[in-house]
Amino acid sequence: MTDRRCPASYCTRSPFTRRSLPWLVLTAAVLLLVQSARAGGTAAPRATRSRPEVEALIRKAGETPPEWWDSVALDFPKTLDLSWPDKAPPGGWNPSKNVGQYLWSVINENPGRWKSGVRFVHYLLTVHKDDRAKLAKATGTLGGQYFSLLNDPARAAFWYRKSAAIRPLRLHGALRLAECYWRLGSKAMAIQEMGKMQRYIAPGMVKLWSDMGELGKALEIADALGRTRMALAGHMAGGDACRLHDRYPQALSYYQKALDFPATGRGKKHVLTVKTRARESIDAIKVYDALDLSRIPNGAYKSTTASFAGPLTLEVRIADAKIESVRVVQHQDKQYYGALTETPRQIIEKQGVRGVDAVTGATITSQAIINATAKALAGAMK
Amino acid sequence: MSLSLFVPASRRAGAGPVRRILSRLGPSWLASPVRRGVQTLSLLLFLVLFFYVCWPYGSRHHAREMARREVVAAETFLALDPLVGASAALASRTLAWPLVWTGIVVAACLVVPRGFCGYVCPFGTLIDLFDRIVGRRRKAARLEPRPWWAHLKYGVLAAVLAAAALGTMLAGFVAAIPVLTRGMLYTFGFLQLGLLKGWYLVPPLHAGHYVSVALFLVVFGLCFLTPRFWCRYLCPSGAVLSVASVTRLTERRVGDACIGCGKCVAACPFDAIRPDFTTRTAECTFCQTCGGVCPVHAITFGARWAATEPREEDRDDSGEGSVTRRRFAAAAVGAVAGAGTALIAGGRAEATPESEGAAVRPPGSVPERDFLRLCVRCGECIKACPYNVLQPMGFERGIDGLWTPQVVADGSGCEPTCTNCGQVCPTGAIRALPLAEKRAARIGLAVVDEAACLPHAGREACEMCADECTAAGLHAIEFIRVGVEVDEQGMPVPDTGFRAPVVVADKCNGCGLCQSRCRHINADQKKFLAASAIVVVAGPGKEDRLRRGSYLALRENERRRKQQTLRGKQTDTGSYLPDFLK
Repeated sequence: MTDRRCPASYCTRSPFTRRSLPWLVLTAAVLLLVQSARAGGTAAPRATRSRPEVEALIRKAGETPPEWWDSVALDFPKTLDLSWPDKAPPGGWNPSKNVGQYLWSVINENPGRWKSGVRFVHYLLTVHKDDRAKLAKATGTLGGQYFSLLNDPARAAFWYRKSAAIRPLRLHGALRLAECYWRLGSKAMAIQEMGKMQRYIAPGMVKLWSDMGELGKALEIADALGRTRMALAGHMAGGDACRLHDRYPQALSYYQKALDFPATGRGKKHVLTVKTRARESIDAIKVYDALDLSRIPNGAYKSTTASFAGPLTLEVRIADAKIESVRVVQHQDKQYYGALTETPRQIIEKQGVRGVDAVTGATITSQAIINATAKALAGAMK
Repeated sequence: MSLSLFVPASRRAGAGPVRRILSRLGPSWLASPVRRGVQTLSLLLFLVLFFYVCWPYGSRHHAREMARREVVAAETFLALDPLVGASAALASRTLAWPLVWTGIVVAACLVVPRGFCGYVCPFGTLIDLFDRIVGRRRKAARLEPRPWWAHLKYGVLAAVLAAAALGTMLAGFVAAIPVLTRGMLYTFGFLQLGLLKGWYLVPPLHAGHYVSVALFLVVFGLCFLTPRFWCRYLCPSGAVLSVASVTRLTERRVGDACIGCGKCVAACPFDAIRPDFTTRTAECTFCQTCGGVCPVHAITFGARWAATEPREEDRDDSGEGSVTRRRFAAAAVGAVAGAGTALIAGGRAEATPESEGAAVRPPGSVPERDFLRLCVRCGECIKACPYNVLQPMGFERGIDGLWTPQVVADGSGCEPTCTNCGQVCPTGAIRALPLAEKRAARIGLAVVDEAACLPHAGREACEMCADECTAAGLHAIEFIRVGVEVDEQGMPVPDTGFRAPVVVADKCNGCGLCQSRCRHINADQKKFLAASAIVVVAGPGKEDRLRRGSYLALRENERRRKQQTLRGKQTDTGSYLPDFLK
């Protein structure tokens, strides 16, 4: 593995790196779902497009402002330091001064501000028109915003490419660009883009390869990650990929590796959260086969599992050996309504938890619902 | 022309079933059944309006439910109280619409002098009832006829009007119907609330409650001295009608057949018959009981110009002294007292800066100065407010604020589907707003106490205030991530910090749903806090108080102005795809 560098050293100048990288990819994935959920709930069958079609799509969307453009005014705190230094200024976390922190803790937290946040970054383009490094940063940020906040892969690809024309993309940007191509309908373009980052590995790659149906590639990267500092994320990604492809014994071994990961130091809380998910995934998979609805007395059963933002509680109602309803009673994943209705629907349709697909982009919430259902039913069996 | 509505004693010989029932009910029913009947209907209507129409439960959509129930305006009797409209108009220097009702009641005096007191006033009817049940048994304590304070009500009236002219609203403290509604609210109103909805809704009682109930009880207690003591000698609303009866077109007449038996004097509830059996026209309410008890049919009611008795009201042969002079004396003393109160109150109001502890007023309240001048402290809005969000102020803002409604959002917030308070306000102190307008009217601004708020203080994740705000469709609470830990490079560490609430000032309308939620869960249930960490406060810039005009338009203008300043300040707002990047 000497030819593979951990990407952390590659992105030291990025505002979000190292341990925050998986977190950010995760956030992006979940935020993405918000929009897809709003756009219509379940994932539509993916269209396939040729390269020229995708290119045309990106150019056409990228060169025209989104339809909301004129209705959103430029609005940002006057206290912000628009010079947007690469290194956070001293004085601690200050979202009213530091642009990066403002985007992270004010814009990203409030869906109502997303468009005005995008408008603001467009404004920064003009502010820094003579500074190529800042332009690369602003265009890359726009790519990320169109990708993760506005669910607009065509514009995201357009702006990522603008950024790449000034300065090569960092790993997570390149990975997202590949995902844009995949989502726009060109697996070939996605694979080509992935090819450019052969020297690097990241948990997001496992997910993308797995989504594209390439479990072998996905697990190759997961295994490679397992030997780096990002081992935990690698094990989880490997487990999730196997689970998606119905490879349950293999999934169990990946989750088990995640469980064996030592929780120490600064990111301890994060590690513990991830390990809880691993534990619950194992429990859920284990009851897949043992689950026998006829052994469950009529009634309502509640259980709680760890989800994206915090615990998720749901209630399963069983009547005459049938799953009558699955209702999420309490959760903190505020915006992810798609998973909250689609996953229970699938569980009721399939009368079980096996083979229920995770809602794209809301893997964690979907999984939490599946895990909680399995847990509730297993606990209720006689 | 005859206006006699009574049943003469001479026609009662052959007692039919109706007669028998009436005589069961009492001699006054037998003598003047029309009057007693109207009184009864009037009281029933009042009770229905107060306890049913102003009972804000039964539907989640409060405004629709109120509209369904309110076949007759809930505030009808308050609007009919002649002093309410008159003093509200005088104090606020506007032609308030209740003046129309005052005009109608006063105009009715042309035909039925003081008819409101005799026939309509539910307070008078209740006093009659109380007198019948309790007062009659205490004859020993009864007073000499015509005591010295017989003209006190003119003094009270003069005080109220003088104060009103100087801009202080005193009518609410003494006018008949507000005293009644407020007294009812804090006694039977709370009883109704406690029994039907739960005692937890009854707010902790303070001095304001006690004083109001005491005043209510004193009015009844005075019956032990003489029947309808309040109505005869003290009620300023009645005094308005007494004064108005100067222009009456009708009168009670005593004919030559009078045998001087004195039955009429004994029967008169208003002390309106002189020892010589002529009429004290300013007191007579045309109840016509005297006509019914007269054994010789000597009393009739008809046009004033056909009157046979001498009409000099202030003649001295009855030994009453100069009535006019006494009235003027009482009025003068009253006017001075009222003016003095107004000046003191006015001075206090000037001395208190507006921002200091400003009360959160109901949605649609006119500007505070006008509000205090228009509010008659009747408590009707408080009665009609679901979950007791509106509560009467005590003495914390002095006599000025006493019994005025304020929003206390600890128990519950101002319901987004409710416009009841404005609907029932008799004087327009709270404007009757359509639902959309009411929701746009800012009554205050929610302020987060960052030292107490759980996520802000770094204690634990909590988004209840925002959930509540979003559920109400207001979206006035946003988030900021606080307490983020950074690593050696100054980069955020995942899973650190909390999403903490931030109030968006131009979206918050001050309903207080957030405050009640935080209070219920974090303070009352979990005991994390002593009080809600998000509290609605009022004051300049935090609330919209319009005398007229649209709140929606106001907010829209604000929004447009803000956008203009935003656009104005930045000459170059950037473009989607700047030329240099094409």
